[in-house]
Amino acid sequence: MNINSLNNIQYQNRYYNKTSVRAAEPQTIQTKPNEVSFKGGFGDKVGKLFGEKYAQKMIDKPWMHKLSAKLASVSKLMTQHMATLGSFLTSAVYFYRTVTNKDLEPEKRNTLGINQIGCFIVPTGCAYGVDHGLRTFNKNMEYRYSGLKRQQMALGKLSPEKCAALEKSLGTKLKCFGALMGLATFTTIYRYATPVLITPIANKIGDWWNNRNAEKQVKTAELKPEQTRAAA
Amino acid sequence: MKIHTTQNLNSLGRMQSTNTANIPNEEIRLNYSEQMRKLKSSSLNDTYESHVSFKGKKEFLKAAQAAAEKIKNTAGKEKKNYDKFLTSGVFDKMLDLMSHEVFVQAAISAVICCLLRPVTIMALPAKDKDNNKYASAHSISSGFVGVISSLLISVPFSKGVKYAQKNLLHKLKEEHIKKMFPQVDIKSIANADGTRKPIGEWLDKFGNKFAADTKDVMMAAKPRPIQVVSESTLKELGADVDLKAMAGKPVSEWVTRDGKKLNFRPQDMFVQIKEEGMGTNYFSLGLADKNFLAETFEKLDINTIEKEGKRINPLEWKNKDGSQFMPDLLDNVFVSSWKETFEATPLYSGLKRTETRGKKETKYCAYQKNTKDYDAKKVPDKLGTKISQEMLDADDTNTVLYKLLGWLPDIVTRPVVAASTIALIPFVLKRVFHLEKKKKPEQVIAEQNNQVNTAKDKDEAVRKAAA
Repeated sequence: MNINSLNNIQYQNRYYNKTSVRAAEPQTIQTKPNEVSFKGGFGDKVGKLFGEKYAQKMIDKPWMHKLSAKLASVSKLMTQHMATLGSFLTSAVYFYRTVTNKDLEPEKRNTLGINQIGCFIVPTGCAYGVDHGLRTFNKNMEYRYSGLKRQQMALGKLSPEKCAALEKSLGTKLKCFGALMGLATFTTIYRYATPVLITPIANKIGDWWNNRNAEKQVKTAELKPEQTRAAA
Repeated sequence: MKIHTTQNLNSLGRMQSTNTANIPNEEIRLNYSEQMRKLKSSSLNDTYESHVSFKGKKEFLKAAQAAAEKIKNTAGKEKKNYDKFLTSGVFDKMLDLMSHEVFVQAAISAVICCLLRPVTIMALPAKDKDNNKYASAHSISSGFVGVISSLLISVPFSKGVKYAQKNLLHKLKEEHIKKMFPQVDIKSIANADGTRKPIGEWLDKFGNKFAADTKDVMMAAKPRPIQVVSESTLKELGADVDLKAMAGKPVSEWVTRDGKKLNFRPQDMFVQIKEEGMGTNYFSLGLADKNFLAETFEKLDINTIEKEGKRINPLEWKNKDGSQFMPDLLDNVFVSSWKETFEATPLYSGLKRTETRGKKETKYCAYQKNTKDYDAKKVPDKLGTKISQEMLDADDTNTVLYKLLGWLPDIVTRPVVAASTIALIPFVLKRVFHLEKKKKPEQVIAEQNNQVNTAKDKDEAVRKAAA
């Protein structure tokens, strides 16, 4: 009886390892030189142009280093802050254009204006809150992803080419993992959860506001003939 | 199983320690951080080691047996449904796309704004359905404009940043290279004639190949007690054991099929050490710092752990009184193999760093994967470059720098993009919701007057023609 193979099966099932037999086979990973080949596609040419004319020059600016160091000392959530800044600018423009839009009926202006303000303030708070709450979960997922990938490499589940590519890019991927989770959280809250929640609330506030204005106008109209009569 | 204790765990604290082996008299008063600094300051950069410190009571945990029981009870619970997604090519592609953060955001937004949000908003109850239609039109146009603008404006810039990160860093000014990568040996970046070498040929201050990455560090599969690992794993680690024949015996009494005692590489033998304020971690007996081991194992004669500069088998280590160091060591040893688990743990030596930002926590230093013969499949013979706090701070700054460069064009053009979104709303209202812009009352009256006047003119013209 082959005890060895029985044992293998037993432990493979128990410890989530299905390819231990393959794992024993030695793998030679041929690593490519640490350079990116540019085949001359349009996208690559664009990348090179902007890399040389924009990125390199900006990275070599002392003020960029000072600014980055300052920002890094404040917070590490740069992706989230940038998403917030972008959303703030967008909401500010939407608000301004909405409340000054003469083509819109005055009643709608109010409703939509309130919607714009709400659609920035509420999700910003929510997004940071949810992102903070998900931090441990995201970190655990990142570790899980990292471990699974390392196991795949070690057990020879990936082709040598994929292994070599992953070996080079795993660090970047891990950095991107947190940013992706943060971005997904912020975008979903900014662009979906809050607008959907805010729209009916803004509609109600807008209706209430418009009704109040209408009532005021009626009262003013009722008062005017009485005043004329009194003056006569 | 009875656990034998050979160490007095209550007397391992640094303050109580009387272990002065190897430490010159003049340094007895110094703690290890000061010793380390003193030792390395002669060869290293001024602040490079400034955050390395040894502190906190250390305790060796005889936890292997308990851990083995726990693993037996939780066997098979490691697998999760989403593991397939995490290891899929789609998820990898998503991560690769994250070098274009603005585009990824716009793409997620487009799916939400053009599909999910309008459908949900239109399903909401409202007195005036036109309000919902307007909100939906706004949503669709913002999703559409967002993705188009990011493709046209942001992607070229983020492509440029990615290109610069991979291909142009060696061309940067020396002062910026020093700032961005404090570990780099600045003499190694240029040839004798002053021309810059490619990054692949750079070295760091420790003589290792320069590596910019501080995130993908030297890791090992989470160590497991010898008691629960498979025969094939043990064989891979150099111990051909018949587990059935060894059933019921303590590991320290196990023998291989040819009757020899178990013999592992020191690097493959992990122990659990709990340190005050640092939690419980795994340390390889072949890679742990000598002083860290001396602090943890008070009775250990630290002079006996190495021969000719190489760490020897821990089963041959001696206590200060000449006796064998922990005869039951194997009962408490963990081994690391990717065959056993996908969970990973960083390789620590026991050296620490203290964060300069945030909560200023003290953490164990991890190591870069930049040794010559590094093989991800096994625990390495040697650790790579220690990732100091200075390196991590610089890396954080670099990350912010790259993110700023990627987001800057998007931020600058946001007002224009937002204005374009608003300009597109009437089009979406008309085409998607078949809702025309309502005319103002004055316009309606003027148009009605025009129509009446035109009709009158026509009547007059007809009358004149008849006359």
